[in-house]
Amino acid sequence: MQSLNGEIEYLVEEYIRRISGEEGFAIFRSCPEKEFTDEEISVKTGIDLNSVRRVLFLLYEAGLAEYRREKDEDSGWLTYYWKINTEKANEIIKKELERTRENFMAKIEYERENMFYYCENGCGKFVFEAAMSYNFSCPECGRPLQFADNTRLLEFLENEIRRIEDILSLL
Amino acid sequence: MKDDDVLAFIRERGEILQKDLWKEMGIDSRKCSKILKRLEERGMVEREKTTVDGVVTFRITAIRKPELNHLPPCFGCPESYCEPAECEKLDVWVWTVGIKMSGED
Repeated sequence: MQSLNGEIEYLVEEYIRRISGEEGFAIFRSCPEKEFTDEEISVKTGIDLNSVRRVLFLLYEAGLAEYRREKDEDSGWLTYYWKINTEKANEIIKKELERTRENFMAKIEYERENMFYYCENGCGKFVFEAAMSYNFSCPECGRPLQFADNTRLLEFLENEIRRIEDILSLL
Repeated sequence: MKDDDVLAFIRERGEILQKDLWKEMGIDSRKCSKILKRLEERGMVEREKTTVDGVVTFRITAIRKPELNHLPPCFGCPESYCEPAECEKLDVWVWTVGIKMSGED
């Protein structure tokens, strides 16, 4: 298992991957600490300029990048000077983990309050009332519905919440 | 041809010789070499020098990152508002990853 510090770094990386894809992560990794232009990153990574711009704006929206613009007096062209700002990374991860924890708690409550049945053909999962209305046969394929024991899942979600809280305590 | 296209191809194979990779992907050998160097710097692939039939080449192996699916879909989810109890993505994650991971304990 990774150490918690390693895990935080991994979470930052995964967050960037999720908002901007594998290419976005490559762009993020290639950005220097000092100010840079999108063209410099495009040359450095071999990724086309439009993709680099799209990713930099995604990082900006997430709060992980900032920019300033300069207008060329002669041509009127705008040049964007970018800078990666990782100061907010911990704050973003904290917010995402808190949201995940809240969602897990809501999911636990829902799973505790209901009984579930599922189709072994993978057609779906149904709450008790719905399963009863289908006479405990899958409405898609007719196969008898099976009781879904969620005890292990509840334990799993509770463990995950503890894990999230361990990470949150370090942020 | 983007770096990630080459990466996806390598991941699909698991490992491949560099001399076969550029031929199979229909790209220039120099371009292929540059792409692989960048992928190596990003920590996505490993390159190991090898000799096959008297030809010196590299054995390219995709580095397996931790599977994304052990992180729930809530993390980095683009939805600003949701009903977790009714979220299909979360439900699928809980009932697949949860079962698998709790079975490994």
